[in-house]
Amino acid sequence: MAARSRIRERGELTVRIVSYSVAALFIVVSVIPLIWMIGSSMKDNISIYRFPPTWIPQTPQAVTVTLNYDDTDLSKPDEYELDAMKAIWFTWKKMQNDAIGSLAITGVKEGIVVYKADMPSYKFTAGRPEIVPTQLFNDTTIRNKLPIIRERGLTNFEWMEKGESYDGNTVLSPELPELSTAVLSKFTDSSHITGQVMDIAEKKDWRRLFDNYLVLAQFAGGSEGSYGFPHFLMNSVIVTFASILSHLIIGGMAGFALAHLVRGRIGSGLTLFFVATIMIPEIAILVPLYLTMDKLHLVNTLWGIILPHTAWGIVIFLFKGFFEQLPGELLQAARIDGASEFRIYWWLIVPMSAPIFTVVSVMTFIAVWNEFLWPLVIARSPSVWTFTVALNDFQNRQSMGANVVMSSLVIATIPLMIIIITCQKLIEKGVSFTGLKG
Amino acid sequence: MKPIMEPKPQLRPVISWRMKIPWTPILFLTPAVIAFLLFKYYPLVQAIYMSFFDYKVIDPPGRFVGLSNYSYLFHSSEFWNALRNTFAFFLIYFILTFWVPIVQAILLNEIRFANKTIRVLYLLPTAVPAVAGFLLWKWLYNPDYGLLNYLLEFIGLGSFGWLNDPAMAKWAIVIPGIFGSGMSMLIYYSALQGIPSENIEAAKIDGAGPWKRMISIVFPSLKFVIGIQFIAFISGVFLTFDPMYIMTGGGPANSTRTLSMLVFDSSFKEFRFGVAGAISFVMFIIIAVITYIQIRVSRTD
Repeated sequence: MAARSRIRERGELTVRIVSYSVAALFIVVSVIPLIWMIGSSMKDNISIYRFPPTWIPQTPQAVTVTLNYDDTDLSKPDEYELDAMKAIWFTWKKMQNDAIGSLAITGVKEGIVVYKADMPSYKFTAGRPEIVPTQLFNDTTIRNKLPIIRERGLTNFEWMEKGESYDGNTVLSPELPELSTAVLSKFTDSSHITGQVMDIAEKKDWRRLFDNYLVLAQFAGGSEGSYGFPHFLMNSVIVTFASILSHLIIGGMAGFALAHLVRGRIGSGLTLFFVATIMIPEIAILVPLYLTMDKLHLVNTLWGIILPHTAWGIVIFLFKGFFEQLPGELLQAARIDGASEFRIYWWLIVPMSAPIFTVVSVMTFIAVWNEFLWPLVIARSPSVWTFTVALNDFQNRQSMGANVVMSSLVIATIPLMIIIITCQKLIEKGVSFTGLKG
Repeated sequence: MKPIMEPKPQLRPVISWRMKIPWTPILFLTPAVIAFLLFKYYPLVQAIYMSFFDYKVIDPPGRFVGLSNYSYLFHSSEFWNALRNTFAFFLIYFILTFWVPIVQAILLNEIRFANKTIRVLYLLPTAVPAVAGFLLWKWLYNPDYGLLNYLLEFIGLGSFGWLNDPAMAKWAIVIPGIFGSGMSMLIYYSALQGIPSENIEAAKIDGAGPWKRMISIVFPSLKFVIGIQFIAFISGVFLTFDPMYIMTGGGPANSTRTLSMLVFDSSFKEFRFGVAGAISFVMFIIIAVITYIQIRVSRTD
């Protein structure tokens, strides 16, 4: 063989070149959007809307401002906290067209650090609609918002009881980087902030690249009873696993019965009864199914999403096909021993049939995880949305930039990616079951 | 006579009693039968039933209107527009996507080195949940900030309106489908593994080169699978809803409003359930007819 394969046929080389280049072309073209998705998910609110677009996200800048409180009459921690909040929120709001990774304030009085406050950008994004909805600033706004800031833990404020002495710059350096200059001008323009800027510094902070992902979790606990992305993912997980379980139990039992317990005309009639439903299009029964669920009071419940999944013709078809291939002698032997059909099924068939159970699980996972139309119809309130419905809603939300949407897409991709890479073999097996026989 | 006749009346009822109620299969099958009746057959019948009524949810079934939902449909330009769009989508999906996995599988069959890796990589785009994929592509198409226009301008092809252009929106909706065909590729590929190697060896001896073998042996052996896949493809495309709903919502200028979108809109936006039932039934009939023709054609082949 080795000798023969060295003698090349005519055309073999071209076949090989064409095969590899076509595969490479398809793969490269299909992976570009994925890379773009990941890159976009790490961009800040500004560069995501920049044209021409960039591939690699910029590392966000962490800005630290030191405020001097010499010659001011602030004394109580609360007063300092208010001042720090004004410094952070008002400045940031004015600068929302710039990309700030995080903003930190250090308060210094008579050479001693009295407080430290800081906020990363994801918390600003999450709190912005509630804390600083307009460009209108005054002392009462922040006084009213302070409880909300505290309750949601949006801004860190640390009061230094026994402050250490301050040993940084006391005079602004004459040449400041671009972003710091912009921040400084907002401070000097403002009449609300008591402290005087003593020092300002910026440095790259790569951790802030992942802030878009953190924003997703932060939507939870917002004012209008909104839910964070983890909540929707959890709903999807529940729906998917409940559907898988129902397939394994209901579909498995029915498949076993069709393969070994019912015979003749009744058996083939029942098989047709189940398998023919593959032909019924989902959209054709959408409305009556919704009305049925309405009658059962299951609209706006996870059960409403799950239950229709108990009736999948393809699952019963797969189980029946597999169980039929099992050696009948084993069953006969067990029956002669006097085992009931239930015992045979649970103790003999199920342990032998791990392949089909895993194949069905994987196929169900992929299908249900991706499902959109039915949850969209039946889950009317956000509390029972699956993540697919939530994603569709995200794209219409004003408060959610494309970068945050992209990061939600990345997160939604991860579970399926894990399944597909680890279960490659099972998927191939399942695909050859369904594709060749169906 | 008597001793022979006597045991009969005793035995018969016992046997037929046992035969008549096979409890085990009933127990095994009941949950599935209930689920299928409740979630498949009942809704199907209900959809047809509804289509003859001016259906009211609060006071079902409302007023009986006979066939007027259907005659309304056949006189409404919206319905014909949606039907036209659906068939246009069908054609575009066929042109852009149907052949892709077949070519991929046949060429992959020639690849020995890194075969498994390539299979995984082909499946990778499938890992992006469909809804997420459509949102991603919507962002790529964005005329102001999108990557696609940037790349096209970069190579000097100019920028396009994509989803905002009625002439182009259909194509733009279908394009992501080109890359989501990993599963079908695997179906074809696993079918190719079943070709007996003697056939190929025989062709080799007859002097058929690799290209010739591909056309005369490998491709014909896929015919059966292609037929099956085509049936699935027809109904799949015919019922496609997600990409249109997510990417364009039926616009621009109704150029991507398909029958399935019409069902959704007429029921959950306009609350005309009777009309929705009528459209559903028409779709069901169309798919049944197409499938029937397809099966007949592939049988005669």
